[in-house]
Amino acid sequence: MPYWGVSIEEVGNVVGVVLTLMVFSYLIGRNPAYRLALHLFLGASTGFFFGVVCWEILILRLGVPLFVGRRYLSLVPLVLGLLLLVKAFPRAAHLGNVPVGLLAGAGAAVSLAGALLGTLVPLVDATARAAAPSSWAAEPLGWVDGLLAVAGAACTLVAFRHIGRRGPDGRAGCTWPGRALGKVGRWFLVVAFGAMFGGAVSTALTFLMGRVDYIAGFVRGLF
Amino acid sequence: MRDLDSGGRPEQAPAPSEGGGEADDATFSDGEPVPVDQDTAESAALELGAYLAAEAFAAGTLEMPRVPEPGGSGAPPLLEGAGVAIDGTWEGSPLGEGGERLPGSVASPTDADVLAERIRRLERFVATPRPLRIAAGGSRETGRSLLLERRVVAVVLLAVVVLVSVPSLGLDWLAPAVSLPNGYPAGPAMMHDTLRAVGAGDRALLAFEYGPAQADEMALVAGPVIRQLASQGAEVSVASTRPDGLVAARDVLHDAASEGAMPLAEAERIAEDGAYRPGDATGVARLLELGEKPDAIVVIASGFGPLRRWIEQARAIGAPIPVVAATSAAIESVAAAYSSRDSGSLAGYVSGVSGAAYYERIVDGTSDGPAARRLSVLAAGNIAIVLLLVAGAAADLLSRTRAKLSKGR
Repeated sequence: MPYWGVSIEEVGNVVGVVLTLMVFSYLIGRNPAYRLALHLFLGASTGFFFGVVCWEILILRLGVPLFVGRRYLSLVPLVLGLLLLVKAFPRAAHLGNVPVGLLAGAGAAVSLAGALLGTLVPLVDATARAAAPSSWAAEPLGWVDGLLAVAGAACTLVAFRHIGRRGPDGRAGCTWPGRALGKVGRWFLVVAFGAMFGGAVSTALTFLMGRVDYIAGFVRGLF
Repeated sequence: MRDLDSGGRPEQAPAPSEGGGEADDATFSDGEPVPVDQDTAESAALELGAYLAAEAFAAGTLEMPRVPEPGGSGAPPLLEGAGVAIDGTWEGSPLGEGGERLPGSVASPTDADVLAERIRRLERFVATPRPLRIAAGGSRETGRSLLLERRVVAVVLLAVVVLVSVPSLGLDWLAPAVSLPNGYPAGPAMMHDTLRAVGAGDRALLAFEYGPAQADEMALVAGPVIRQLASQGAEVSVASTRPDGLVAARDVLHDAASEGAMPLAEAERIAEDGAYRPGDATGVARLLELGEKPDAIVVIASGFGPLRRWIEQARAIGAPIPVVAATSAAIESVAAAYSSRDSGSLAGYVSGVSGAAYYERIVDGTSDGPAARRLSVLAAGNIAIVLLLVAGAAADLLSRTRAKLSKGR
């Protein structure tokens, strides 16, 4: 809806461009404009999250069933939520352990089943299959892929082995095969982290392109 | 118990050690990451050790000081290992066997004491900010050179992106000629095949696990996926475990509507009916319980955590729902692991601008979509980064050589 001939979208665009330039001003060092933009972003995000959680959870998922639908079972999460709040008061903080325990227990149970069925078993299975020569024919140089997968997984696991036997000189350490495999595993880790860093750089460049496009579009719109 | 009796108020962390004044100022005024000096590292390690020791004590795996025998020396027994960290925490307020107070003796803590101590340690460890200080050998020069490096890198990247991405300047000839190679990588091809099976009336659940801050990249990746599902007449619904996930969903759906992939009213309805449940894995499990079982799940995620949670929970519910992913380039290597032919956790993925460009070509049959148009800029930026890395390495080598030569003299 336009106010004084200016639509809310146009105001939003101007504010967006100004805030983007304020963030870019970090290039000349930390300055009040950058800090203001940062605080505005954090404040707006927190306020928005608070509003969404209040509406979606406290009102729609708790208040409406309890006070409109008369579903008194909703009192249970309400009480548990209030118990969580008393964590702020040291003398009664122990009462908050009940909901904390429930949250931790339920979260761990849900995560554990998923981690086993969705990550651990399929990835171990995939690594084991990669070692089988029958799977190498599926694609060209499949044996290289398979050997890299198996060697990478094994050596990386060895790299995290921190148990050693104490030698006659009193120093604890791994045997030489363990040390050698661990070093190879660390190189696998370095390559994996390098690949992830490359991806992160690509993502950052995409963000930069997006912001430049946004400002360029705004400037083009002025003329 | 000093803190417990005073209401369990956490102790203030020790102030930064001597010499921290000027160094702190330098650190915070410049805002530069600087090497942590040994004192800070040690105090953080001690703090962590104290917390772990309290945890170990609470779990019963650490021996606490015992009440000394009446007539004994009264000195608490020495602790070893992690116990050193909490030595002195449990000050004496003890009673002897006959209920008499024993001077210098140590109390046997109750469960409540243990719990309070545990909370106090955790609060202190988590809440106390650890100021970083410049290392003993460091100086303001380090901060200045880092700032200079940051400015050089930023100016070069900004110049490249501006020059290449603003055709109105007439300088787009600077962009390297980038086009997609023929053929398709396995990830986008698998994803397209999987989603092609989601026909009219089938339900596709789109999990939007990113916020407006990541929209510049993720909207490019999500766009062609939504266009494909809309063109096949699939019934699309959206969900998120992030408070701002549905805002991102609304934007992408509006973009799809403005491109004619679906009516605007339909996009509005899908966004309005979007579901939000907080709680990481629990939230994902709750979202999967809503409504009827989807025929496909599309995870549109900028981070590894949400992608993993959706893959895991889709497996955990036991129904064979195909999961595909549209991700940020930053987590491409992770998505690739889940998408390997033998694991079968992901039935295809696209990631980053290049993945989106491939998918545009498969879905729209064009090599001039929004993602493809950015490939040139991405390539120019990557070339600039490589040149900066080479220049930085050369400068470093030069300065080391010069330092060695001057030492030799």
